[in-house]
Amino acid sequence: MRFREVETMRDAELYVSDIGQALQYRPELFGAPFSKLLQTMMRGPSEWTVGERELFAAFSSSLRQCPF
Amino acid sequence: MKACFDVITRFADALGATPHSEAGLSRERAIAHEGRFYEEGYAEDYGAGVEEGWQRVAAGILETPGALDVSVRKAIYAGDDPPELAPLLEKVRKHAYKIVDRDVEGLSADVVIEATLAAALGEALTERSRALEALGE
Repeated sequence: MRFREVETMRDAELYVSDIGQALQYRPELFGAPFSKLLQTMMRGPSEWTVGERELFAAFSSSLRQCPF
Repeated sequence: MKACFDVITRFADALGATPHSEAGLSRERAIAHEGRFYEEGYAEDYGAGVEEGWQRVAAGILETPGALDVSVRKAIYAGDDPPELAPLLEKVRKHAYKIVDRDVEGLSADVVIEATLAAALGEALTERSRALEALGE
């Protein structure tokens, strides 16, 4: 990552992805409300299955040329 | 859902976050890893729904005290960028994957994060509104 201070869990024993760490940085700014919204989208009540939603997520990321 | 990933991918690109594939994780292990995040992190806590969820995300990005004044972040959200951040934010909106170290040189992490999130949120919610309108919702 470009900013070392964002690597909030670099000393953790288990692997934590960069984006996972970034969501823990100043969580009130973004990570906390966003994670809850994402959880609602990806695992909450929906007409779409979890698998279909994962597919939408991968497609949306690919549109932005994002490999995550 | 697309709006969610429109925001987080821009956020990841601005920070230069390493993709799972480059961190040595297979696609299957990466999915399992993020799955644990969903299942254990916020299991069964679906909040108050999507609309209120977006309101809370917007409030966090635009109203939490930080390095950039709230008025600056709201201006960026509306597309009115401060000149010193305009080149970076143009990339954030159009093609965040092209952001390189030089684009954030001399800027603090907090400024980059707050400006990126404000711009990304503005773009994502504008597109979401257009899509919902087109669907008649």
